[in-house]
Amino acid sequence: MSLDDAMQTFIIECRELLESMEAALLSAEEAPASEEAINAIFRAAHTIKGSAGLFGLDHIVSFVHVAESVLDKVRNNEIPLDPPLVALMLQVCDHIGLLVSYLEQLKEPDNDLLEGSAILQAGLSIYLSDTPPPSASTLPVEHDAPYESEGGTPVETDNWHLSLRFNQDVLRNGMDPLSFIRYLGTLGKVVSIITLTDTLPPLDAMDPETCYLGFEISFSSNADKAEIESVFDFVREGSLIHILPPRSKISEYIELIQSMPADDMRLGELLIKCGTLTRQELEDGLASQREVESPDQAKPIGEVLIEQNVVQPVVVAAALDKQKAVKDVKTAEASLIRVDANKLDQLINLVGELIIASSGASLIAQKEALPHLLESTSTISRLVETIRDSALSLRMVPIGGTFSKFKRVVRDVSAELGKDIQLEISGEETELDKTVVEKIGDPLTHLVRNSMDHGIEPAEVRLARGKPVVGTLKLDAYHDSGNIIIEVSDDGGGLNKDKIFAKAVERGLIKPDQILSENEIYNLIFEPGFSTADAVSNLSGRGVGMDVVRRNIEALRGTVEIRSVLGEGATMRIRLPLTLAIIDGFLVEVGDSSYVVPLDMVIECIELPVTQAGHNAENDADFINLRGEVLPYLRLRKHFEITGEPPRRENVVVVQFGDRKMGIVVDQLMGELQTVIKPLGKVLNKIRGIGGFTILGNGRVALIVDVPSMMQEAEHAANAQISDAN
Amino acid sequence: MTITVHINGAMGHVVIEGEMTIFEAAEYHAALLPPVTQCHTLELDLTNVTEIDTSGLQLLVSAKLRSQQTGSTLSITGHSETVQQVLDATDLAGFFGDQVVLTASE
Repeated sequence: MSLDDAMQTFIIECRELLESMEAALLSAEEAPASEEAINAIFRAAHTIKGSAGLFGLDHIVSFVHVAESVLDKVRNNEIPLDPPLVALMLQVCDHIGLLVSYLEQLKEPDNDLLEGSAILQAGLSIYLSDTPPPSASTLPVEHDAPYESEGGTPVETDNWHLSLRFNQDVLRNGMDPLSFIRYLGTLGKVVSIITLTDTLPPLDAMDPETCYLGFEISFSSNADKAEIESVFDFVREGSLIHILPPRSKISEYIELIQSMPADDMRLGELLIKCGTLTRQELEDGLASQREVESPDQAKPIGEVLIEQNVVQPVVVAAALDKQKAVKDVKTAEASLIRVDANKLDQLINLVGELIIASSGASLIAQKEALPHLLESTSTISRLVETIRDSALSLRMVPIGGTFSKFKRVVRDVSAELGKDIQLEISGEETELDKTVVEKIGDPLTHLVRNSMDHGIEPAEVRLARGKPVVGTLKLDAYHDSGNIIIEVSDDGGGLNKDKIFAKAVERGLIKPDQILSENEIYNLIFEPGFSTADAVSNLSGRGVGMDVVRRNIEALRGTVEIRSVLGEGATMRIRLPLTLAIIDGFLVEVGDSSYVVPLDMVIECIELPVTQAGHNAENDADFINLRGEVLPYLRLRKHFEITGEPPRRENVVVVQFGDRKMGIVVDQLMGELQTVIKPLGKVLNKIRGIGGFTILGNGRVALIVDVPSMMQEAEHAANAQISDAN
Repeated sequence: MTITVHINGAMGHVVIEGEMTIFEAAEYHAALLPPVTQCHTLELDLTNVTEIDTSGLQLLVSAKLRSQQTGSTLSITGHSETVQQVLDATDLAGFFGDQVVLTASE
């Protein structure tokens, strides 16, 4: 791993740690912080400091160190984690984030940044009024001996065993292994030490600045494992540091022996020399492990040893408990794999090609009408479908992560506005495509800020209206017919229809005599240059933003709509397609052209009543009676200006988007089709009513019908007609 | 830091004073290389070494290992307290075998 890669990992890790730190801080603000939360905050700071030290980022180390010292006091119950401290810590979080982004952009820390550090450090040092802890926060604190020997008299195995192989660059990074060993002396007593010179090259071949020495240490101490481990926090990266508690299971020693590059017996001998193991124990351990490995892998060596009374169960249990926490974290990490997003994209592209190829194969099978071929192609299609679903699900992430960021936004904005606003989050487990998640953050922030600024009234107004003083902002997400719906709702004043209308007329967006539906009036706030706020605040009201919000959402093939009840609140509903790559489609034909309607939107298909056939063909929009319901329909033939005579029998595909239904009249229904969405080129992507294209099994191109925009168009046309009639 | 090297045929005498740390490691390495490779008998005077870290220690260890392999003699004639402490802390006094704490084990 080159330094750049390592640095990238460091940056990513920092971001994640800061996120968890922020989340823990925010939860601490709401309810008294649990010990766990405080530990999480502390650990985050501690790890950042440690890793930063490894890269020689002194400005980060020194800054985080102060914060860590304060957190250590919190952890030791010396100072309470009260709201002012939480607020300060949040600023510290932000500042670390800033330091890290400087790093990411390869910018040298400038004066502003360092000044920011200094101010926060000054704020923090108030909490450290008495003498600050010497070096790290890991003071040699006396603890109750967790692994007290049963008999009381210390026996050899009551010592810790430390196996240290340092990163070769440890010296260059300004750290001296000897000082760690010296520091160990403050935690306990080094009973015996073996300095390993195996890897030391001859004098003329050695690089004097590379660290070659390793150590095996038998160590007697009352400190707990975490404390001993923390001694090596700064050198952990790239070093092999093994710490075995007193009376660890023999298997752990064996594991240690096997994990070391040196050959088994050499290290085994070292352990014996160190006095950690007796020769008998080592041999037994090695022997029983061989035994266990062959017949049954699953049985933990520890259990075997207990059965054989080699180690005492109590001791094993104690040791296990102590390490369980550490291990749990590691397991969670191990079950996740970080994958380059590009690789996933490539996979999904390939799956797309696979779908096209397999539909080509089934087409041939159908033509040839060979039963065996048909059977096998249908199996392949089914498998391809499964592969498609699992490939796409790889890209799916729960929206909860995005939502929880808003805790901070709401907290900060409500403080800025002087309003008391609480955030309610639901549906955070709803999954959607990662690209969508990334791109939805900004528009969502805008909507949230807008709701808080314009939607929720000041406390006095709320009181006068008989509402609870604390305003509520809700974020919700759920799936709805192949779409994901994200709602931002507030219990504020709602949108004032008349005011918006008047404003739009004033801005020249509409004519005073125009007739608009309620929805269309609300949608005016998304027009460029529209703002009804009487006062332009820091947050919103400048009239930029809402149009950008809509543009961003439309770029994701989504829509945004507003529900509002005057005096009771408003809901902004963002509707987004679940994925941007592959969908289930419904293939239809008009004349010689093929079209795909997203299957999730199709409700049913009916035959166009004969009374309507050919009738009114001049009209773009018309309606039929669908079981007593008025269903407006649109002729695709007319819409796309396809020449030729319509067949005698036409079909209607009934589609639904949101709560609106519409019929699309086509010549022929071809059936379901897995559709790989290919975006249209720059020249064509402005065409309304088409969302992209796909390649059919026979190599022909089918256009994907963009139902929402087609609906809009149909409505516009209808409204225009009404206006004309008026 | 200063390092004084006297080479008289197969005999060598090296006096090191000041700090033996990573900051000077490259210089030490360069300065120690000729006497260690040329001399059959080499004496190291570390009486006035004020500080020694891992880099200094491993240089000494490497030099000593070489002398053991080639059958030459490398002895430390004087230890400062710091050097002695480090040798104690790493249990290497026996390895060097000079009259500090233990008698020679070879």
